[in-house]
Amino acid sequence: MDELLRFFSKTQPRRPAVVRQVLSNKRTVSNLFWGLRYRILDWLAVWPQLEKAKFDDSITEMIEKKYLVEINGEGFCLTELGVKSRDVFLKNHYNIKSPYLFCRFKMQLWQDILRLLMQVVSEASYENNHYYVVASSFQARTSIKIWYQKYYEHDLGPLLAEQLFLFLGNEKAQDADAFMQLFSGHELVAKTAEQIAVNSGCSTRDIEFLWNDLSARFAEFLSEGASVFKNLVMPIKRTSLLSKSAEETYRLYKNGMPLSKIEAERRLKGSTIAEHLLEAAIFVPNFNFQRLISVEEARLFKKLFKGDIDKWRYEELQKNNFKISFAKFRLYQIEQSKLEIAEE
Amino acid sequence: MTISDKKLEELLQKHFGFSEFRSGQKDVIHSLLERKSTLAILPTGTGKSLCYQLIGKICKKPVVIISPLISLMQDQVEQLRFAGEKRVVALTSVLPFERKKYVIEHLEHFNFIYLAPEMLNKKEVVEKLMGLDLALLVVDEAHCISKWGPDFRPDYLGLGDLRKKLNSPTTLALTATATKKVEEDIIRILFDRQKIKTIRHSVDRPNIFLAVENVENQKEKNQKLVQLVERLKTPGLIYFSSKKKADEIADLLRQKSKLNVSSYHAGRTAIDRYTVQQQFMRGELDVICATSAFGMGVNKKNIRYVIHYHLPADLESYLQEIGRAGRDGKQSIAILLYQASDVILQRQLINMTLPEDEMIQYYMDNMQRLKGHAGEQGELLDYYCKQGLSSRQVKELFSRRRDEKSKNLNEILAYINTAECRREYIKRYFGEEGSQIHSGLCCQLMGEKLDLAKLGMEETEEVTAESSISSNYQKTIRKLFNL
Ligand SMILES: [Zn+2]
Repeated sequence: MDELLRFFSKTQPRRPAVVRQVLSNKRTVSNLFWGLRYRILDWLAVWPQLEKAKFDDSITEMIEKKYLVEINGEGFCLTELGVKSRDVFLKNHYNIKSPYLFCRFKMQLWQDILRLLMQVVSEASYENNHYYVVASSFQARTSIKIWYQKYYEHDLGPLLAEQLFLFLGNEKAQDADAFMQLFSGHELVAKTAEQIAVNSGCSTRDIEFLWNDLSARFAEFLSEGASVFKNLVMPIKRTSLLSKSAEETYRLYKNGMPLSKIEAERRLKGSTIAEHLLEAAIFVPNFNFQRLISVEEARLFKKLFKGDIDKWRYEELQKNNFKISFAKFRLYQIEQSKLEIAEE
Repeated sequence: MTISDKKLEELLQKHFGFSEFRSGQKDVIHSLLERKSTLAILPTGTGKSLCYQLIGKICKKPVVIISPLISLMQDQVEQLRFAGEKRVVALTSVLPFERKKYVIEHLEHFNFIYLAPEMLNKKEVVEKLMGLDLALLVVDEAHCISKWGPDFRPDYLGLGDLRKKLNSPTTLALTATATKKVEEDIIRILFDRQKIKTIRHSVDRPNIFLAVENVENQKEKNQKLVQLVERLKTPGLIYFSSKKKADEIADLLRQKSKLNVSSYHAGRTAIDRYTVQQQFMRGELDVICATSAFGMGVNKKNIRYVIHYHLPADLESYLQEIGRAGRDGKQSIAILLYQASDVILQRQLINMTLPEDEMIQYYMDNMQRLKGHAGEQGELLDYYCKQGLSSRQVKELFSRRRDEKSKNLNEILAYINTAECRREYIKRYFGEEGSQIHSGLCCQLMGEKLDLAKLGMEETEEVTAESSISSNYQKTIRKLFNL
């Protein structure tokens, strides 16, 4: 799994566990924070079925091959050899262009819906209604049914073709060809990722990544357009990257409710509310940090913590007997990280 | 109700688009129309499900079908929908909660209700069923009721009671294979020893040639397989007892032959399984490397061969699996690849699924703690504990089942090693009367060379790699939408 090399850096030591948990969407505040630090948060949830054992094995292998080297117990860095292998890999394999879209949509549901949509419209184009429906979840079938009842009178074949031509016109022809082979329709059976891989000489995972990437971007494309298909995509678009509970906390916070009142309203512990706000601080653009960090606190942080944000330690505050919570310290780290990234 | 044969054929044409019945179907339908409960033992491929589907259409009352396999139910539901029946549902544990609730509340809306046996533990389901006026109660794969059969399902034991609660409606018990002993069990447990009609059609499929090829080791087995697959007429089906092996050999065959080969098993995604099955149905695949997950509900008529790479669990499942060949009546072949060490693998499988005495004792001593964490074996043990059996009784029971499974294995080995006609052996095993007259088109006797050419089983046309339709995306889009 040489594709994992891209998640490591030549200069910043990174912990493999964080990489794995970001890719497979294990959302703890700590993972999200380090994901932000490693500049890999765009890849959140890109690989939900990644298995720990396989991941660990391939990390071990990359260490043995001297692609990765451990730095003072802080994590691993890419070696010269690692950088070379990474570049070779990226040149020869499918590159996901929009990983950040993977958690903007309910991907699995969307992929089921998309396959069904293609089949339903294709069969309708041939006025056939006797066919074996592609394997799909109940939820996907219901979504399609409701949508179809509203739009079946439109000439859906040409409309869908138009959207596909517009969208795929901007892709490499070879990628577009592979993508379209993944659909079944009238008198046309799809190919499995493995079959396409064999025929085109790439790996099965390349095709799986291509499928995820292109289907996510097609969802984005439809959601930003004005076609009859927009209504099919909008319900599965996520308006926020926050978990449901964090979202609720943040809504109250944004409305100006004091923290003590949020705790009471949500019947949650202060520490949980703090976690929710940290999550919001990571994901929400223009998060209001000033409301949580006072001017004096900010001044103190600025005095105590300089240089590489990765190396700041909360113990520094404790050692000097400042009674400031860990959450505030982490919040400051997040704020400074976001400023740093904005400047890059 | 009696309906003339001619009228029945008209109804068959009207509802399902077939012009004639297959062997056994008409007998079963007549028996049910006379409101006689029936045990139908029909070989696979005779269209058992059509019997009750047509009854449902004729009687215009609901039919309830108990079926042990979710995938099988889903296939049947799809087929009925395909035939234009909208009011059909499969009530199983995989339905989302809300949908399940809706279906149970509106059960009377459906004409065909497929039920997983575990659904019958739900009071509201049984109560709802009691309120329906059924055309027919169907117990599919009825051999699952027998503790002596290979597919015993504890949930099935309650079906006799269910039938009584529903006021003993006309009932159809269906199975592909049942020995005398299993037949007796079905009559005793499901029908409470009532007199019912048994309709039995021969398990023998004369157009399937029976062969066993002995090999020394794994390497030779793979070579033999490649040779066979390269020479045999396609399409073909190869069965494995391991998913990994199925994938591995599919890879090997892709490399060594020009054929289009794919694998099918429970480890693949639902969408891949759909795709592979459709490709096979449409003739785009020459060979499928499958586990027993493949085949139920697959109605492909021209499968030319079924090869077993591993030993089947018993003769019943062997016949069921090879029965997928030659449904068009043309010459076909079943080949069992046998390597002596396969027996060890099969014995290990038996031990893995059936707990040993120590395991039973340990589980029963620590039940509270282990409940729900001991996998398939635990579930079985749990069931017996609920029945109030002591650990001694449970141990006895499992030791009997282990013996039974070994016995099944020995039957397979005896089939492999028999010096006489293999077909004769099978018929005798299933208690069929009349003896087999062996000929060159019947089976490969021990020590004989397999002559594919003489059987007309050799592929004579040059196999050309699939002229894959241009994968150009613009063309694909135009083809998809008829532009
Ligand atoms: Zn013979």
